[in-house]
Amino acid sequence: MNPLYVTGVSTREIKELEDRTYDIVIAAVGYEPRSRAIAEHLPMPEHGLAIPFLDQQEHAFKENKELFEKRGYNTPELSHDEQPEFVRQWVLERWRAAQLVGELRIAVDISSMTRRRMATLVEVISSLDPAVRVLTDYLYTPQIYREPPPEPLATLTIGPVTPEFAGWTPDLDTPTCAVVGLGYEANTAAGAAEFLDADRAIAYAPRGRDPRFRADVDRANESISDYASVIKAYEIEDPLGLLLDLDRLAAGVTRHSRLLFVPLGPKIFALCSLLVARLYRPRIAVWRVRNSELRAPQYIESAGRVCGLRASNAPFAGEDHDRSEVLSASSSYAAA
Amino acid sequence: MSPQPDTETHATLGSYFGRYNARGERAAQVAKEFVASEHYWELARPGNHLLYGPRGSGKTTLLKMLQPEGISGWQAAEAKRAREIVDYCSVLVPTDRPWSEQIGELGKRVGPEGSDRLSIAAFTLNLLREIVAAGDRRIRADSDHHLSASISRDAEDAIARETGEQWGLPRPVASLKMLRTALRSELNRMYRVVDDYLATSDLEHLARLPGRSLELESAAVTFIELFNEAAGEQDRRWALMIDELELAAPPVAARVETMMRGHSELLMVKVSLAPYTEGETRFNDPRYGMAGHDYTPIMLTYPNKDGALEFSRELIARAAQQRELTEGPEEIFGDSVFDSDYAEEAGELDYPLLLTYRRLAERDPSFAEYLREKEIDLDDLEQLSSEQRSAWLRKPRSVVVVREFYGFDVRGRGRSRKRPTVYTGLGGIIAMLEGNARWLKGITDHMLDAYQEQKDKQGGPKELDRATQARLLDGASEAFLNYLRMIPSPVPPEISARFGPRGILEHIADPLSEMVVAGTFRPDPPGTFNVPPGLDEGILASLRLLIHAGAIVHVPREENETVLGPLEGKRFRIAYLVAPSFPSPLRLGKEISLASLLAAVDVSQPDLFAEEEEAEDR
Repeated sequence: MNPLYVTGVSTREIKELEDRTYDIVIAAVGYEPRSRAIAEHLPMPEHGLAIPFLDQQEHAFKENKELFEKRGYNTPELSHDEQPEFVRQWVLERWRAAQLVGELRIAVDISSMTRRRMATLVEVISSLDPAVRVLTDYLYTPQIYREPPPEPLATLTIGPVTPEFAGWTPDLDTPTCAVVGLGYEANTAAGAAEFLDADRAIAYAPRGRDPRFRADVDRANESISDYASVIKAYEIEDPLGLLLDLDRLAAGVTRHSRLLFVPLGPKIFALCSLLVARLYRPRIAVWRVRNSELRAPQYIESAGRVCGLRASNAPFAGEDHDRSEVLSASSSYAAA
Repeated sequence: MSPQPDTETHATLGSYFGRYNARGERAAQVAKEFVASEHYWELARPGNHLLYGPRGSGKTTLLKMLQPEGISGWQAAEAKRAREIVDYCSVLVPTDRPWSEQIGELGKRVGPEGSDRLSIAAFTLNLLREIVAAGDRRIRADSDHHLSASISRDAEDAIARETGEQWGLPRPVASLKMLRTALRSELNRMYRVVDDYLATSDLEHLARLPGRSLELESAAVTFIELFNEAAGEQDRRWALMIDELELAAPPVAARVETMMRGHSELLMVKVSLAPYTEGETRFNDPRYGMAGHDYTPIMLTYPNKDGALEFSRELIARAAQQRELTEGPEEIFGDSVFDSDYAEEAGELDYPLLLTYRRLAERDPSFAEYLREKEIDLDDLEQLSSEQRSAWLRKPRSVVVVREFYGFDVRGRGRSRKRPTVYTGLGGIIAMLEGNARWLKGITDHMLDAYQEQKDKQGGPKELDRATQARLLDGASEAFLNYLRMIPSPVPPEISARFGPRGILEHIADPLSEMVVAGTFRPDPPGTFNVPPGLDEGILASLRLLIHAGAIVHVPREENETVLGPLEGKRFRIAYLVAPSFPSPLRLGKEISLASLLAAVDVSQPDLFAEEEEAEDR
């Protein structure tokens, strides 16, 4: 297992990304204007990959795609089955080219990605041979407040996000602990908890800057206390804090339970779940919940800020910690 | 504190029925609250059994109560009978969704052939671990423990060594505990072997898959024979109890189903299963065993509400005793118009019921017409013979009561909801809870809390306020309907509102309910439906999910008819728990084709299984 070192990318105005340079930038072309917000402010990368969604090409999809293409991004049309292998090969090619300089700097904009796309990227990047130092900034721009979607009419799928994140525990008689990230879609988390029937559940409630979001989340999850023995809060714009918390939790829980992350809600929770699960592989599973109502496209705009996590397969050099205003030096850790 | 259904938009099953699940509890713990139903005694009989029922119906509890630890921890008088009947050593093999998914996903990474091998090997190793654990517990148990075994340390070492060798374990082991640990290591090694294979694509790695050469039944018998020999119990039979077989991979399920043909002298198999399986089931296929011949099917649902009466009443009485209440269930909840013997004592309609008939006759011209047609004068019932009173008045009693209670308030989907006081009283509550152990335990807890509170405030025994009973039943019903929306369903989102489990339930329950409370009065309206051939696969998928959830109850036409396999031609009813939203007289009634219930619905959807798109969670 490759080592993984992580530090935080502290919240900054999105325009402050303009002096960040990366060898490669990976994003998604979706229908929400937020999809292009980070790419708009980053310098043109040497190599850019922005995979469009093949369905729901509405709202800002056209403008988003034009922006990515104008900035030199590759925008291949791929089904979700085709994506993992394409992404793997695309990243490997850049990794091979980076062998000469010994370093590859990657930015991944997770803001508009599905959990499955995120899982693929975390897997591909974490598996790269440490012969090349790989520094990856997983960037996320929070959204401007919008009212929550109506309560979902049905849940379509609950299961491992990808085969790589299905987890592995030899003992069937080991109790299950589900860690559920809450969203503001009414009843979804409680429904997932009921379906999973875990021996224990712990919920994480997101907190953002807009008090309306907090109220929405609390309202949508009134019933989660019927399932979760512990409900913790986390700040969306403090991903490192969340990551460290999930890591501590995993260290304790995996000693006596099978741990299962169910990352509903903000993408940042999904990212942290995937990174922690990768660190503890194969003991932790990450599952996704696919809801019907979430399919209705929402016009989501960036709030103009960016935060995230920096992951590396080698210890951070001083300048990577303190190099710029984008990076936080608050903490870093590694696990083999 | 009882849940408040006034905030029921978010009511969940958890809030009304609790989080009780026997899976996470030790058998000795389960024994503390156990109430034996007729199903338990059937299952306890030596032989192969197929136990099936919806979520919460108590499958795992019943299996755990066959384990020596369950029987030993059971303090009730019936435990003696159980000790006599269960003279075989029961080994519970649990399974669950995360475990089954992890095997399935790992299997996907090694291709179809490797996947089958992997799932069988993983299941076999786990089953063997459980057998060894059961033997180990028997050796360590006190002598008065059910089926405790006396085996010397040397003999245990010999069993472990010999078994380990025959199972091909890489290192010798010297105790049952070590044998179990070694099997765990083999399971862990399985993941590494797959990882190595994926890294190198070298098929040689898969050839080293742990457990791949073990044949489930003969590997189990190897250990059992050695154990029996050492314990001086050559003829002791063992029962492999496989819980939630529907979660096992198809090749594993096929192997277990084959074992149920029961040709082993030492082994019997008891399987619990959801009332339907996603994959093809081989139960009822003559090549794999027939119900009633190779195994006995036990259905944990009660098509007729009176079937659950005794068990449910006993469970409620036990809960009341544990709270040191001196009153019995009848005193706490009072009587119900749905009691089968309601008003029978008087031989005719009692006064409150007569008033109900009169009110309905005043408001409902079609009921008045029914009375006229039969020449019934509600002010002079003496003119009718006893048979006429029974056939024309008492038989449609529950229809009259429900129609009078809900009639004229019903306006299709926009109906105003009434607190379902009509369903209160012991008989109504028991009928609505369907003999489902989880539902019964959960709602009884809330009701007894409320009763205790009421008693503390008002003093003296007095039945629990009907409004409180109705509030809790209403909330429980709403929570159940919410849950149906959350069941993962393969029906695509564009049409899930109509054809997902909740949508299909509404399509069925609404017209059945309308025939009771609206339109022309029918003394015997349809209350059951049959599934016609040729239904869209999406609708069938939703029906299966509803059966699994307990929202639809199978009404067998003959003994040993199971709901496994194709649904076509089988008869069902809607669970009485949803009666507050879809008023029902809580009785089977006539049968109607599902096709006619769905006639008003456009079922000509082109493809209910459209290819999965990516717009899942953006």
